[in-house]
Amino acid sequence: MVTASSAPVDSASVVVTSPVNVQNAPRPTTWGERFVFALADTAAKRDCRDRPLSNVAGPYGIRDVGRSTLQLEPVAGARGPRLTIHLATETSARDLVDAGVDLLVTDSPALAAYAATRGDVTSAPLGWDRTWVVATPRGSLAIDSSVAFRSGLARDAVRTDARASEGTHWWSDTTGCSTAMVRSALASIGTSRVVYPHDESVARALAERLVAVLGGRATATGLAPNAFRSALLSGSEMAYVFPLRRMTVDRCRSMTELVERASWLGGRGAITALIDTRLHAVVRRDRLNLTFTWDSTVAIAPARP
Amino acid sequence: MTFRSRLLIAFAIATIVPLALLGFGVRRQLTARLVAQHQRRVEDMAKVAAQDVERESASIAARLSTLARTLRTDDRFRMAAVRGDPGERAYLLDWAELAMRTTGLEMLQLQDSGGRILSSGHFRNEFDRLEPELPRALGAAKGAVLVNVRAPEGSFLALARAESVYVAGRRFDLVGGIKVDSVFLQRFAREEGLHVILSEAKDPKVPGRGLSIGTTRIPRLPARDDNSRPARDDTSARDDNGADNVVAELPIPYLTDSQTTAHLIIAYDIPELALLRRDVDQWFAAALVVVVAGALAVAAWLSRRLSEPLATLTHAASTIDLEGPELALAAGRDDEIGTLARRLGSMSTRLRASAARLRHAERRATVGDMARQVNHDIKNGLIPIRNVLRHLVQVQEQEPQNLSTVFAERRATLESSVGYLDTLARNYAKLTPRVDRRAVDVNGIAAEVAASIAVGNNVRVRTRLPDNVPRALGDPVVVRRIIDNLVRNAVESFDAEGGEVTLATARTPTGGVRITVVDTGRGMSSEELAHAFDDFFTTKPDGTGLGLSVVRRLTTDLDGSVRVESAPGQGTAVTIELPSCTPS
Repeated sequence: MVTASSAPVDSASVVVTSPVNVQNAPRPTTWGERFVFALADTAAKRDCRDRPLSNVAGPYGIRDVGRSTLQLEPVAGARGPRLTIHLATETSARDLVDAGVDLLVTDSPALAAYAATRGDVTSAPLGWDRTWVVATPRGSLAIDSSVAFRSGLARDAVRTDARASEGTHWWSDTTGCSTAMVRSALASIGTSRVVYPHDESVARALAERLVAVLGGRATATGLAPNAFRSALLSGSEMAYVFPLRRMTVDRCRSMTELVERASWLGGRGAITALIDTRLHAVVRRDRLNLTFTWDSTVAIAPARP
Repeated sequence: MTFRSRLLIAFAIATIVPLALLGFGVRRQLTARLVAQHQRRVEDMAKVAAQDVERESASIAARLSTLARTLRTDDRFRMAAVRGDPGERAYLLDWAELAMRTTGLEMLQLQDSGGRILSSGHFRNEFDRLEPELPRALGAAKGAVLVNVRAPEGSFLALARAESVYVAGRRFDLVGGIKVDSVFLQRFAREEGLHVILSEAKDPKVPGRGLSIGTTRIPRLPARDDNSRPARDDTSARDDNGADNVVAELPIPYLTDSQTTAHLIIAYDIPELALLRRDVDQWFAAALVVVVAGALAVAAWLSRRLSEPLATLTHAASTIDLEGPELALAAGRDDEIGTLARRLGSMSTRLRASAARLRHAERRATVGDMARQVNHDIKNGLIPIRNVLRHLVQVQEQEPQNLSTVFAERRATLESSVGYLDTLARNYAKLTPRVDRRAVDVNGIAAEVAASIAVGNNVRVRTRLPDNVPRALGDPVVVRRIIDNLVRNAVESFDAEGGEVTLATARTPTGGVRITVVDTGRGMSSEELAHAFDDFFTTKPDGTGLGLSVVRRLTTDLDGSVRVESAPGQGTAVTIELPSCTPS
């Protein structure tokens, strides 16, 4: 629980500095979609032992989709305020903050710091929830995996709160999983491209830095979600930069899901973890209560009775 | 090849060649004048483009200078770049991007004295890459230089300059510029039809090779002798669509490993030239069609006018028969063909006379043979008579009392021999009439023949005997035999239904006498007509075949001429022309 407000509110405004496309539900492609889809997901309202969370509002239903706003209401029988979610850029988010937003969820530390300058808010970094990886279909691309290089990426290449990826990653340990790690026949590499989902600024920054380091004819190319999925499946590009959940309840299930995206991803050495990132939440103390699930997903807490 | 074909070809060449020369000349003049006019315009545009490039270069330099002044007083930059403060490193990494956007540049990078990129605006995450040659080469250049700039999505071409700035005694280089792409080149294409291409000069004929950036469309460029001058004199070229264009070039320094100069090529389509050329082509085609059609029509008419009389004359000449009737040639014309026809007719007459003399000579020779034959025949007839007479003389001397008896016995022999000789004389008389020469009243003879001829009830003989007919020179017996034969032949040509015979005389234009016998009988075919004058040729069951043969010989003996016109079912007309008694 981040903060507490004893006064119940009927509605609240939320700013998210990430693109959200509801058409991608239930498989988010950005952290903003992950935040919004989690509000509407009853499964997300359970703890790591799969028990219902009593202190989480919702689940929510998406009622209206505007050009840059989403209207969310609790489903029948659920608690919580109506939410107006503003999908903003970092620049426009500052205007919304100045206008008095109830909750800001952002990956920009600078924006969070600016929002925290208001006296009536509480700012807190969320947990390290995403790991950005580079995947090479044949594992032949020379990616520097040293801590120094990864720290340099976290410090200089991206403009978000990042660190060199740490710990043992669930995709690198398949012990006990029955997932068939059969590598499909890969198409020959026809490009020298490092591709990434074009909505992800972190992925873009990492891809560009890789291109800068690789030199030669390598280029960085952003792809739309569907195109990226197809490209990942074919394995025909030189490298792919994308995020993975840092933590998972069921390692083997996540591994299965990963291999379903592209079988070659299950191969040893195909994925190199680069950096971990986290979001920041800034909430008005007198308006909303926040809580976090075990995997650092932000959740609205109902007002205290 | 026929005369007509030659005439047609000659007319076609005589019309097409001058017309083609005219069309070619007009097109060439139009092209030359318009190309020269537009070439001046394009060269002016190239000068304006050069000024624009200079202006852009100055603008880049001014913006880099402003950034350099700003850097000197930028404390955060000093802390990051000079003191190495890690807290300001992000500021340093983002500085170029912010500065690039602020100044409107499209490429900007900040490098230290070792060439290490400290901050890049167009490629933010390219920091720490070493590129010492670029600021060095740009610093040595006088103005802006084309460079290939690396970006995350690939490289692009930029017009760049460099500016050095010293902070805390350390040198930093600012390299900035603007992107050179089709949008940039579009500013030089101020008019419709103008194309601007930036190309390496290695092989401008192939714009796709090496550096090649163009505006909306890249026309095919003319071949060049070197890097600066078009190979063609008129500096015009044709693009892929057939449009004409003129070109001018502006060299721009280009920094690559192997190239030092690129060329800004300004090409201008001349649409009005294409339109004019098309109009000229259309009018030329129309004129060609009309003139050629007219020429061919005139040639056809003329060739027909020339060749038809010649063909007629040729046909007539091919049918000349010195033994047959005289043919009428096309002598009524007063041109060369008429002269030729008259000469041909004259020649025919001379040949006919020569043939007649030849036949006369032959006849004389034949008379000799005939005399020997007559001699032989008479001897054959006289031998029995002489034998009978010798026998009678012998009987009178030896047996006078039996003379009457023997005479009675040999009388039949004498009569037979005399009869034979009489028949012989009669037959020879038919072949060799004796010809006299004196004035003959043809009308009188014709009237006597018409009156004496015995005809049936269904046959009618008419006469047309005008008074102005002169007397002919000849033998009245021969003339009578001629007319008698002709009228008898005509009367005998009728079948049971009968018909009409017209016997007419007239004065010829030359003063001679013309005798015409026309019947309405069955006529003759062309084959029969060809043999009409042959001896013993007849179409009648009981005919002798000597009628017309005798007529022709008798007429020829009188130095006259005979002509027969006949057609099956159309009757027959025989015309005899005899010389007059008095010279014309």
